[in-house]
Amino acid sequence: MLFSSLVFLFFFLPAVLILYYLLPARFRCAFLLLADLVFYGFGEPAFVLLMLLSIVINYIGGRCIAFAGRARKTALAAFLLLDLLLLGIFKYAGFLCDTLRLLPPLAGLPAVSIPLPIGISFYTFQSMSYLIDVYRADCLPQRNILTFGAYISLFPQLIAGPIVRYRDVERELADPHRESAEKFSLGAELFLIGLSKKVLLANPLGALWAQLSANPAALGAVGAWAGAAAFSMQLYFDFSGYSDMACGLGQMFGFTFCRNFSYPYTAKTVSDFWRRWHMSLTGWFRDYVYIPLGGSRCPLPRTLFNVAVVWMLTGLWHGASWNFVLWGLYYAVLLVLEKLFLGKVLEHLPAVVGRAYTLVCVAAGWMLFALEDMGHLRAYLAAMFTPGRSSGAAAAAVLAYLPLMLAAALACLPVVRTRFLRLPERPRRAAAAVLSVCALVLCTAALVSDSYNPFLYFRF
Amino acid sequence: MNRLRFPALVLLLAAVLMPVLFFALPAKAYSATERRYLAEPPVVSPETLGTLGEDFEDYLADHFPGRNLFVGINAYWNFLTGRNTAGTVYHGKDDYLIGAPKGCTTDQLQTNLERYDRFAETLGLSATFFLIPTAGDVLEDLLPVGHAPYRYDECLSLARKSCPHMEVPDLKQALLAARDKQLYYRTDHHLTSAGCYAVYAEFCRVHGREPLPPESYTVTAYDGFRGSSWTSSGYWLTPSETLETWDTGAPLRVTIQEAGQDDRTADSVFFLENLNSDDLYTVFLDGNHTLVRIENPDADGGRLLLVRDSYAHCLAPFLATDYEEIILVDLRFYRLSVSALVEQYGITELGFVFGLDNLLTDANSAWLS
Repeated sequence: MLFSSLVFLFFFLPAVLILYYLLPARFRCAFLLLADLVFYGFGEPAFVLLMLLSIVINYIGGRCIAFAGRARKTALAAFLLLDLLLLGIFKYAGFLCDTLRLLPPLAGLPAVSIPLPIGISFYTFQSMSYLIDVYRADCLPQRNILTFGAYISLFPQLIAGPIVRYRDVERELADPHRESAEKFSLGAELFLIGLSKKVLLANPLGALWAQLSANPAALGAVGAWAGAAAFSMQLYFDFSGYSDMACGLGQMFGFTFCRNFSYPYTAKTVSDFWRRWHMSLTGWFRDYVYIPLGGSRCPLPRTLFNVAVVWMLTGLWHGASWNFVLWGLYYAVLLVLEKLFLGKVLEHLPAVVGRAYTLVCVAAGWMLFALEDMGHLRAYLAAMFTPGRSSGAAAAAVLAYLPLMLAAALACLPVVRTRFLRLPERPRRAAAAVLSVCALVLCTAALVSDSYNPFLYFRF
Repeated sequence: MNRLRFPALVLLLAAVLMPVLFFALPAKAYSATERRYLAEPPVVSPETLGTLGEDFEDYLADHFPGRNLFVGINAYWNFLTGRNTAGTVYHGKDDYLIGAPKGCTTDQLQTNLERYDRFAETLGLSATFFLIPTAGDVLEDLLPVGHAPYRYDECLSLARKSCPHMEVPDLKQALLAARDKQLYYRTDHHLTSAGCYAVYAEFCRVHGREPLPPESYTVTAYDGFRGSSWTSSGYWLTPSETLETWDTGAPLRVTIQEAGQDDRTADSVFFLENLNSDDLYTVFLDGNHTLVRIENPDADGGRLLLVRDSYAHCLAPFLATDYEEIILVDLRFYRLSVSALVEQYGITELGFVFGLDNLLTDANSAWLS
C-alpha cells in the first residue's frame, strides 16, 4: 500500500488513527503491530510470514546476545548471518545465479527467480542495527516481542525507510505518553508536504522521464540532460517525499524519526551530497561498516579500500544487478578522488563550481541507477555526452514540463522553507491553512484521476 | 500547545469525511460524463490476492465521492501549471480540445497499409484509401504553443508508397481548402458533417465524378454535443457544441447486423433517437456496429465495400447518394471472411476509411481475409 494512494489516505489511515487513539496506551504498540501486518499484507500477503520470521529471529537474537556472556560475539555473528541469509535468499539469489551462469563451467545452473519482498532491505538493516547496538550495549534488548515487532514493522517506515535505529525510538516505544497534539500537528504538516512532493512533483516528473528515456536516440544532448534532470528531481521528491510522509506519520503516532534528507542538491562536493541524501542509510554504513573497518583513521590505502567496500555494498543494497554495483563503484571513485585531492581543489574554488560539479556527477550517476539495461544505459549516456538535436516530440515534452521543472528546482533549495518560516506568525498560519487545503485537494485530484504513480524506492 | 493546528484538522476531517461519503452515496455502475462503465468491486480470492491492492485502488478512484470534480481540478491544474501539451488532449484556442499526436513509430501503420493494399490487389477492384487527418494536422493555428509535431504528410507519403493498388487522396489539403467551415468538432476527434462533405467532394474529384452541391442537403443542427475529447480530457468547463446532419432526402435503407442478433433496419442513416443518449455522435449510423448495409434504390454507382472505423459513420451517408449499396465492415468486431462479403454482395469498389491515429496503433487489419 502506498502512502500516496486513496486506499491509504482515506481508509487505512483514518481507521488506524481512530482505533489507535481510542485504545488505552498500554495496548497501542500491540495494535500498531497488527496495523503494520495489515498494511504490509495488503501489498505483500505472501511475505507477511517472512517478516514475522525476521521479527522472531531478531527478538531472540537480541535476548541471546545480551545474555550470552563471553559468547556474545559468536551470538551476534550467528544472528547477523541469519539476517543476511534471509536478505541474500530473497534479494540476491537470482542475481548470484545469473552471474555464476556467465562462467562456462556453471552455465547449467538453473535460473532462480524469487520475487523481492517489499521493504526487506529496510527492515533487515533495522534488525541488524538493533543486534549490533545490543551487542555494543548501546541499548537494552526489548523484552516484549509485540513491542519489538511494532518497531521492526512500524508501517510508516516499513517499506521505504528511513532506517530507524532501535536506540533512537527505544524511549518512545516505552513511553505511554509519547503522543501530543503538537507532535500530531507537526506530523500532519510534514505528511502533507511529503504527499505534495510525491504526487504534485515526483509523479509528473516521472512521467516526463518515462517519456524521454524510452527513446534516447531522439533526445539530443539537451533533451538527454533535461531527462537526467527530470529523473534526478523525480527521485529526490519521490524518496524525500516518502521519507517526509514516513516521519510525519511517525510523529502522528508519537515517534520521532531521524531526518533523511537535507537539501542534497545544494551540496558542494559529492561527499557533501552523501551527507545530505538518504542520511539514515549513509549513517548506517558509516557506523556499522566504515568505522568498524577502520574508517579514515588508518593508512591511506586502507582508507581507500574501506571507501570502496562501503560503496560497493551501498550499490548492492540499492539493487541486485550489475548497474547498481557500477553505480556504487562510480561513487567510490569520486569519493576517493575527493579524499585524495579534488575536495581540496574545490574548497578553493567558488561554491558555484562545486555545486555544478556535484550536480553533473550526481545526475550522470542517477543514469547508472535508473537504466538497468546496459545497452539502454550506453545509448542514454551517449546522448548526454555527444552533440545532437532533439526530435520535435522530445522538445515538446521538455517544453511542456519546463514550468514544473523550474518550480521543482526551486523546491530543491532551502530558500522556500526559510522564507516561509521568516513570515510573522499570523500570516504564516493563514498560509499554512490555505496551502494544506490546496495540497490535499490537488493530491486527491491527481490520485483520483489515476495519474502516473510509481514509487522508485519500493524495489529495496 | 495542546490543540491541533489547522493542517492536521484538515487532514483528519478529509480522511474521515471521504470514506463516510463513499459509503453513504449510492454506487454508480456507469459514468455519463466519462461515458464508460466504472470499475466493479474487486473479488477477494486466493487468485486475486496479488493484485487486490491495485484493483481496490482502481475501484476507489472510479467511485470516489466527487470524482468528476476532482478529475476536472486535476485537468485544469495541469493546464495552469503549463502542462497543456503533456496530456493526450490539448486545450487549443477557441475552446478546441485537440488530440495530441501519437508518438509511436509508423511500423503498425505500414503493416496495416500493406495488408489493405494486398487485399485490394488480390480482389483487383478499384480501391480508395481515405486516410483521415487528425484535427491537429489540419487546425494548426488552433494548437497550443509547444505542441508535439503532427505527422500526416509523412504518413501520407508512406501510404502512397505502401498502397500502389489504391488511390490515396491527400485529404489534409482537401480539408485545408475548406477551412472556412468548421471541419472538426471542438470536443470530439471526428470530422463534422462539413468536414466529411469536403472529404466526399475530394473523393469525387479523384474519381472524376461530380459531387452533390452543398445546397442539395437539408442541414439540421442539434445542440448539446460533447464528444470523446471532452469526456477524456477533464476540461469540463468547455462549452457544448452543435452537431449537424446533412440529408439529401434520398430513400436510404439501413440494415445493421450483429453476430447472434436479428438484423435491424431503419429508413434513415440518422438515428435521431440517440439525441437523448450520452454520445450524440451515435446519431450517425447508430454508432459502432460490426456490419452495416446502406441501400439506395435511386443510385446506380455500383456497390462499395468500406472497411472502416468510426470516421465512416458520418462519411458513409454522403457516399450513399452515389452507390446502390454500401457495406461497412468494422474489423474490430468482424471476424469472418471479407472476401466472401465481396462475392456475396457483388461489390464493385473498395474503400478504406481510417483516422490516422487509429491506423497508427490498431492491429485489427490482421483479421482481413
